[in-house]
Amino acid sequence: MKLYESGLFFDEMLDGNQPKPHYRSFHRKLGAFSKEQLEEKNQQAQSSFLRQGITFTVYGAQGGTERTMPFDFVPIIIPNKQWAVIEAGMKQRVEALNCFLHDVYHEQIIIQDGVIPKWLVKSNPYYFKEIVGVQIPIDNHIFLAGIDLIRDENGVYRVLEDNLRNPSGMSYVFQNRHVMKEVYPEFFSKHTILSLERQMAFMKKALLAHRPRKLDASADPKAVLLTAGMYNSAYYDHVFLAQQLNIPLVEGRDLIVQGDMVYMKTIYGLEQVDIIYRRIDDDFLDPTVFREDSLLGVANIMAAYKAGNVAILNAVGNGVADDKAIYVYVPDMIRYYLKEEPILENVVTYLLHDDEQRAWVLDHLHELVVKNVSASGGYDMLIGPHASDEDIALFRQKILENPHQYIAQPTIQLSRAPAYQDGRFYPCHVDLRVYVMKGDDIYVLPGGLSRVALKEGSLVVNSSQGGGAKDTWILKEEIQHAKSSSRCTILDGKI
Amino acid sequence: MLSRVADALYWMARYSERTETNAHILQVQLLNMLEQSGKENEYIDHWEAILDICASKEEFMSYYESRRVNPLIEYLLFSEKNSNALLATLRAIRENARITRDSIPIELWELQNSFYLYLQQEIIEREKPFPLISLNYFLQNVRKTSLTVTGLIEGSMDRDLPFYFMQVGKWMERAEKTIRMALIMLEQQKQMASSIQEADGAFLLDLSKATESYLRKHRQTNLACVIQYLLHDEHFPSSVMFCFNKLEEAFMHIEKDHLSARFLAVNNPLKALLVAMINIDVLTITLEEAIFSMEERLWQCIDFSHTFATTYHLYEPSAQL
Repeated sequence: MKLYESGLFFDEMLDGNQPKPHYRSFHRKLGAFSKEQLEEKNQQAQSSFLRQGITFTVYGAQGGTERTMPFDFVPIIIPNKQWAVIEAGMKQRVEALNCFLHDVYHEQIIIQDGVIPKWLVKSNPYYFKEIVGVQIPIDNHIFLAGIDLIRDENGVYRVLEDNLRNPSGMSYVFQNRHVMKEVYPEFFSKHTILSLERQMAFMKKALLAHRPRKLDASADPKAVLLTAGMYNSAYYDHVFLAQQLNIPLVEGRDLIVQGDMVYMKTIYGLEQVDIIYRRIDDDFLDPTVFREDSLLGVANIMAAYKAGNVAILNAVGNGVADDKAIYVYVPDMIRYYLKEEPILENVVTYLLHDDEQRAWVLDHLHELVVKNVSASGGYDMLIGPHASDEDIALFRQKILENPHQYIAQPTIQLSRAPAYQDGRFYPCHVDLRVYVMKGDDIYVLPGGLSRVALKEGSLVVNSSQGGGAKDTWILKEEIQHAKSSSRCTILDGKI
Repeated sequence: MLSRVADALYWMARYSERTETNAHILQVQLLNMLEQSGKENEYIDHWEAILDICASKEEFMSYYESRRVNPLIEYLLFSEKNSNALLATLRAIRENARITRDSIPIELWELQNSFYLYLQQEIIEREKPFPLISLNYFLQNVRKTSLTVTGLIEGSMDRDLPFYFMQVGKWMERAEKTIRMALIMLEQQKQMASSIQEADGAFLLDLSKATESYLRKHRQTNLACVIQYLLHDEHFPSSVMFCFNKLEEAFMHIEKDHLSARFLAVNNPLKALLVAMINIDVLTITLEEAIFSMEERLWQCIDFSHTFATTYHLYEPSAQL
């Protein structure tokens, strides 16, 4: 089957018009399907998501606010050796970021040593003075991180963004695999890939490792997942995780704080809660400390947190480590705390508060991507090569008014992979969100969420802006194409 | 179990039961209509009874001028003004299922969700008014889904707290509905000034799905005998007695200790209701007495559901301190 020419971009699957070695057997299988079969399977996969109610909410969208994330069946396949590098890089990065978080909320040695400018930390809207010195369980701030990776035109993996507050989308990793196995079992027959089964056991172990300081040593901690409710865009994610972790899914109004203890309201009365995996942002957590108008949070929960009666995961105040300006310093953090060289590189980033860098950036806006340091989801962002003159003028103005608020990066030729829609294959840009769990140990979920910009030529992979998802396969051994053992032939039905 | 989740399970079951019964009642009436003309008294009486059983006659008359079929159907099935319209109760089921997704079988959620999505599609695409023939098909579909749901719950749910809270919702709703149906029929007889021994109970039998079961055991279908049957029969699964027994069974599973304050708080009023019900002998009392005691039992049931909700903190959890 001929798909397209990979062209100037790095393609996950193709070299020219030929599949790469680790995609060969997938490519062969693909050739065996008729157009009608592919179309039917595609329909079947999409409707499976809708039936299961695996939808996200689009804020302010017209005509029905529930949408499914489009699923594309061509998986991203990553050879084992490559994955080993990513995995090591992820562990290293999360370890360093955790050291940084611990440091800025305690001694702040990294600032005293001049590695990171003081103002960058102090002026960050997510840096909370209130929690300086608060002792948290196992000194861990990052229970779950979602680190976004891209590949540049040379196929080099680079970290694009760290998400240390409430990274969402993990349920899609499992769901994509589930649908893939259900609808496209044929593709699995000649691959041995890392399974997602039992991965949740690690997450549960990491969760329960966060025993609050005051919890009796012999007691089993009681954990809950705090959601903003069913109208939240990531509600499915919350349901899935609560189910898999086997913990109650609670809303703010189900919890109450009395005498610095957190309780949940059950049919038999109040029951104490020890660990809260919260999926609402810091701002909404406690109306007595943060936003007064928050209806999602729990009054006085911060007092219980400070008193050591409850663990809140991820820790409060993580936003200081994952904004786009601090990002620039993560490689320095790795060198500083771990005395190691970073395994995974960042994307080159220009800080616009620096006069020299800003001047250069303002001259090259049409070549660059400009991002608001505290925005996410692809909002408040300029993609220079695709932008109109008005947009460029607007961002020039924004940068001049508020240089601290923006960073610029070169437009990277994001790698591409084939996607299938409306009966044809075409190349789409992809990225990969890798999930890292941390308790007593650090654990990386094999694979992750491959996001794909389904609009042809688009660089924005966010689901709120027309992005879709793919299954991600980590091969167990090195290239396994063309190895026909007797078992494989039976699976093929060709004996 | 969280109070909020228990509350949602309870209401999901109540709305499921309500939806199924209302769909059945509408189907009965659509069939009856085929043989009636719009001017007959019986025809108007039947629609009035149905309005009162499934929603409220007063509310309907405040929105519509006449009791024509299309507005009636619009009101009972799709109107946003009627909180008990089929579409509204189906939406309530789905919303409650969504809240309780982690306590119910995945298949149950998927079933409720896909049925609701199908329904929405159906309503958007169809021209209105619905042709009667497709209306019947639609109601049949609602009922079939309800039956599948019941089967799924029976066959696959753990006999655990979520299951029994749903049971309480279901049997509470059913008992109330049966009493309400009896009451509405009695009130209609009062207007016609006939006695309950003379009046015919065939319509009530149809509405309460009791025709088959009743005719196997009795020949007379006068209203008094029919109501007696619907209140007292121990084997017919919509009889008030049957529902009360099921409720007691559920409470015994929710509370392992049958001397505990909580068990007594719900079981004592249930026992009182049961005794009051046994003591009604529709065959020997006057119409007025029958109406009076049905009204009283209905209020007792409603009070009882409040007692249950209070005991298990089922109201809006922010009020729970």
